[in-house]
Amino acid sequence: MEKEKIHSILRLWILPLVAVVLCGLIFMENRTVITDTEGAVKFYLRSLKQGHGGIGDEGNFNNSISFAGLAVGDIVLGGYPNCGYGEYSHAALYIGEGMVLEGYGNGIYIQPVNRFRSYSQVALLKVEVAPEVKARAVDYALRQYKEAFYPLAFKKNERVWNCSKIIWKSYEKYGINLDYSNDLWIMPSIFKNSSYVRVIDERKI
Amino acid sequence: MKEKYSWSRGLLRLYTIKIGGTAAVGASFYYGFEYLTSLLFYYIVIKEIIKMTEHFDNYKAAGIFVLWQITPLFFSILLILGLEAGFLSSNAIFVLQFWSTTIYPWIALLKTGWGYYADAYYAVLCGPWLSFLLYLLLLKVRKIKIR
Repeated sequence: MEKEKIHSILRLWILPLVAVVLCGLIFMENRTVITDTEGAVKFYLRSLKQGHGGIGDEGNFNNSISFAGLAVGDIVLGGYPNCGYGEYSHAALYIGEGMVLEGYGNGIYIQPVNRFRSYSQVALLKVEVAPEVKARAVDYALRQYKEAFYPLAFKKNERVWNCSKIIWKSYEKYGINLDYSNDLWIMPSIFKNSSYVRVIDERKI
Repeated sequence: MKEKYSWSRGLLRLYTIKIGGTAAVGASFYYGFEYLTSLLFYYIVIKEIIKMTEHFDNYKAAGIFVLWQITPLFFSILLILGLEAGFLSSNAIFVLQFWSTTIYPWIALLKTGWGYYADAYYAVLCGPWLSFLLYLLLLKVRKIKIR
């Protein structure tokens, strides 16, 4: 075979080959969670089959929930109907004075908690750990301010974030694992069932 | 003997490389060598583009690039102009981020921002346009070299 032809084949197939090998290795390493019917992969594929692939049917639902019970380090969840990856599509960390730190398409940033009123369902989660741990977790999260967001950020690294990972990592750094699933990714709804968390209010429209 | 190269074949090759590159770089994030696979992707793409310049004139090659980048260009226009298109607009930034996976290791190095947005957001938004400009530049340089 000519040299040019071999180069052409290599250029075309080397990356798909690398991808297959890496995905295979990841699969072997995490076979249990990937094949788990309640795991992130199977959950999302099931939703996709039902036609729910994204963040859900976005809108301004004018949710009347009160945020008065929140303390620094607590978690706010928001969700739209038909979200592809669970009951809740978004999570944010309460940092005090009516503000939350979020990971969203535009990066890790700070917003007023009131914006969660636009979600059709909102849950407020009290993280039941020592206040100093919560303060440290918030401090860690704030240090990642304006870093990059990536929707499928693996839990493993600290280079890219999504809304749930930034919260999970901030607590995990100080020995609090809010994720009971040990999945490759973390979905917002996971927090609701964590043993460290108590739902203080939940309102669905 | 020189390989036969139609525009559809060129486009299909670019898409195959892109899909493979996206999966490879995405998976590399797990093991922490995403910079390496990203560099490999861009090396291959540049090589492929150089190969294309031997078969097509600048206009045809630019046309192939636009067809290759049609998805991010479309979603970038949606976001820049703030157009409302239901499901498409609410998920536009995520589609763009998936498309940008191959360059994300470098985008993730941006740690500052402007206004309410991280610099990474602007990079994802402008990425398709910047890459088009770089592509045109590469075509131009390459053609001059051939002459």
